[in-house]
Amino acid sequence: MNARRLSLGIWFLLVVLALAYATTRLSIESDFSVFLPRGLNDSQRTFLAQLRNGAVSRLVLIALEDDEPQALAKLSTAFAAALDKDPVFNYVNNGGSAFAQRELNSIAAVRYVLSDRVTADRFSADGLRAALEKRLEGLAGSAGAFEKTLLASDPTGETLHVLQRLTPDRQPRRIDDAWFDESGKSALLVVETRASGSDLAGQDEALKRLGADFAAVRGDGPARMRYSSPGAMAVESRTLIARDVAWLSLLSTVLVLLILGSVYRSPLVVLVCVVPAISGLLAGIVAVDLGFGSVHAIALGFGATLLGEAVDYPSYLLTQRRADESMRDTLARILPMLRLAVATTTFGALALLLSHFSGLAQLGLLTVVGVVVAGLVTALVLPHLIPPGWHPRAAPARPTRLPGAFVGIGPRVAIVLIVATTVMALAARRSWWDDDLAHMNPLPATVLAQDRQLRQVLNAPEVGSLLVAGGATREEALQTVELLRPALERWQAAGDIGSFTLVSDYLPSAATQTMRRAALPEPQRLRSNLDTALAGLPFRAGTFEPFLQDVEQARTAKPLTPEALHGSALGLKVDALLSEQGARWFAVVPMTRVASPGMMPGKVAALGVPGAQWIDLRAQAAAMVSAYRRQTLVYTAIGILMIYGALAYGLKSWRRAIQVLLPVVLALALTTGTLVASGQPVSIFHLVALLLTLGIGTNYVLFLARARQSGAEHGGTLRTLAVVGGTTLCAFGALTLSSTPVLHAIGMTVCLGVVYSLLLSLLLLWPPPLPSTLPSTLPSTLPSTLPSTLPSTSTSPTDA
Amino acid sequence: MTKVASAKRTASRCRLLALAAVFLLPHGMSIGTNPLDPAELMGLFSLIDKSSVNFEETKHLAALTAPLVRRGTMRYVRPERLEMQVDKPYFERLEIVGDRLTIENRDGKRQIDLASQPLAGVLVEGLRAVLAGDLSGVARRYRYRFEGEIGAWKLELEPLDKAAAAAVRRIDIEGSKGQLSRIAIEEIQGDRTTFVLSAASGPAQ
Repeated sequence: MNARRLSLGIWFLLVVLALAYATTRLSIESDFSVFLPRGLNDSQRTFLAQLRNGAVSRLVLIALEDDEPQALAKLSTAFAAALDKDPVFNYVNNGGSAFAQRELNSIAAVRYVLSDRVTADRFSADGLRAALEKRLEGLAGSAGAFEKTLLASDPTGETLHVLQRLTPDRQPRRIDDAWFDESGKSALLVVETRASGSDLAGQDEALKRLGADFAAVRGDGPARMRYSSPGAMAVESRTLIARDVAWLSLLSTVLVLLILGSVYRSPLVVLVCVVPAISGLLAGIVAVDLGFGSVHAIALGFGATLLGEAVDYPSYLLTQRRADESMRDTLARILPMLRLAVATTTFGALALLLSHFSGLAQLGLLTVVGVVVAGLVTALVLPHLIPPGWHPRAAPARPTRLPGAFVGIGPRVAIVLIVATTVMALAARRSWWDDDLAHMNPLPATVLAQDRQLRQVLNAPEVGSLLVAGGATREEALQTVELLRPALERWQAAGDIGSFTLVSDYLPSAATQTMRRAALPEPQRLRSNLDTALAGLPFRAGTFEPFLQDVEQARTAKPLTPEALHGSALGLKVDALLSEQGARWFAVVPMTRVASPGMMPGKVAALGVPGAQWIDLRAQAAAMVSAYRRQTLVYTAIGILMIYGALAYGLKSWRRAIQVLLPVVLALALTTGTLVASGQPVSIFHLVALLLTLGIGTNYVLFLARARQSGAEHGGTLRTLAVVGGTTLCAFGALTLSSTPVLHAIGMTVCLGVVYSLLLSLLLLWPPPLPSTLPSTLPSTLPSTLPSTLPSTSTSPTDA
Repeated sequence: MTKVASAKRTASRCRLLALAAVFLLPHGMSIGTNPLDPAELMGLFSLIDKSSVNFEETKHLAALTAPLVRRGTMRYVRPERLEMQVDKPYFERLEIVGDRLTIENRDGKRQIDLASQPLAGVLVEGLRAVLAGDLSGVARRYRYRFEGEIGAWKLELEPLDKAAAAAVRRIDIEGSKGQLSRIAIEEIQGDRTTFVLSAASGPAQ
């Protein structure tokens, strides 16, 4: 009685503590990127940083639709004005002239530093004369009205020159001072969020503001807004994942409870059955939160399915209880098997802990802690909770006949199954591995297609590939970028690339700035040069006083820094394109319409510009994932070895350990084969699920082998297997309904694995072969030939 | 990030206006006499399908002590094609077909969407309405007033569109019967552009 009170008391205390922690301290995150691997080298880190925080990730592309073009243009103008005032957005543009004017002003202010035409020649008497003659021509020409506004302060036309260089070659069409798509049906806007792409709370907030601002300007008009951004997609996938996790855990819980209820017919016992799983889950979540700082929703969702595995433990105990047995005796009988079951699952999941995906490592920790705690609770707490008078119903007799029909042919069926699957998998002629991160994106294809379409119309840089220039200092990185311009212009002229964005066009290197400033003449000199140049030209005297002042101001100004540009459109660009990572500075060069990305790494390397390299984000990601996939494959092998070691130790026989492990390993092979044959290449997440299946499947075989060895009743054994298999299938079957590829992959794999494990263990280990039916020609390595030496009973009590 | 469109949008406001205005081409038809009936004048324009004319453009700018003068030819082809080619002192060619404005000069060729330029759009569309003899189309875009008689008339236009009115004070078009002789554009800031039109040396194509 004392032991009972003690164990119950300790358990209760721990549960209360864990609950208190979970309700007050627990932080749950749903950012999909924890399932992206941490980068390995510098360029991969740049890629990840760009993906998570870069300008591209903060860009929201917006389309307004479902109204007349004029109404949409009006709406776009009002919307842009509202967004412009909203502090959660850095930058807004709808193609309107107000925004154009603002950019023009910010360029005009620093034109003599930004313009690559600023040389001593240009400000000599001859250079100015040529520029002034050009102005006269411009004033007379079709751009005369515009030229007029800049004439007095900028007779050399630097503002226009810089503007042209910074303006992409392709622009969306415009209707009534607003951007539209080609069809004229959607008004287009671009906004940049203040929050980085990886700041999902900030992104969420920004998108909420976007919706609220739109609703406010739209009033009760019919227009509708569509938008797309990496941030929006991340928020959306988070919502999808959270929704999936919520309803799938509910579904699997209900299904598991229904199965338990129909087997035990006692609400109290069902409740007791769930106790180890809930305790384990709670402990696992707390452990993950302590270890990682937060729990990812996917890990949580998977953790919920831990129910399926951990609910098995009480089931082994309860369904095996004999009528004349005390709970303690049943436990003593079951305990070695239970210990091994916990150990194998733990070892299977242990390998995950080593993963570089923090999401996978979380899964591993959750499983290890959860399973161990569930096992402990089953062994130490559960017996005290079961009402003393409760016994399972007598096992039904029927199931024994079914496997009886397969007597002796099991191994042959297994061989046929394996051969057939292998042939089908090979015949599928597909790649066995799927390393494309995009396939792990939970968003529906329509969302991705919309993003592509908006990106194209608005000429937004593609997220797929970019040029990166690195340097030890900011200055070095900027100088490297400046070296790239001639090559980029060449490629552009050849049609290899569309437009490109160089951060040095917004913030030239200090060296270039100094050079340009030095080219500007001193006031007296400039005035005399200008007077000489003006001789004979029809400009009114004194017209160019603003020019003389501006040049002197530029000549004596402090160097342009990112800090000085802060808050302007130029500053935004610089912040977005230039970043410090570790001890190095990186400038990214986004491009549009890259004709053949495959050629780019070679072309960039051939330039011989040190620090410049081409990064293909997709290929890079695939390479990373494939590296991790190989890593996980190794972990799986280690997992198998560790499980084998645990089995050999627990069963005290290397041979019997093989006997137990073989059906499961074959089941894994069959599962993989089936996935490949059905057109589903194996991703890293499938591998992880296989590892988990290994643990679960081993439990079944272990149980079957033990039952057989100890001469358990067939009916009872089958019923236990049906219950544990059923609950696991329900829990993981629910996952297959998930639209989140990670959860779907895990659900699908575990379900297949469980079915195959059960099938193969039955085929190979059930029923105990009678000596007369044992085919002597069977290969001796097949386990079915081994247990003939073990004590066995071929009849169950119900048969009698 | 997609950069803002060139602020050059305002560039060709006056130019376009002049271009369009100039296509109120001289025409040899002679119907009726005084007093001026706007509907009758519009009727004359509605009969013109295509024509060609020489122009001399004189631009008076505040910043300049002497006017800028350009010469060239213009063409109109019903219903929506307008062309203006400057021959002296520098080559430049503007072509409007429907909503597309193409500008070609020594620096190259650019295409501009007229719908993207509310001001230019209003001016071009309004003046195309004049050319088409569509008085209600003119009234939609301008406050207008006719003066004189059919043999020597003057049409005063003031843009109704806010953006256009912020740049252009008024446009005066003078002519005799279906023939235009002069177009004057007065800007808000005081700059003036005048086109003097004369029959093309060759026959209209």
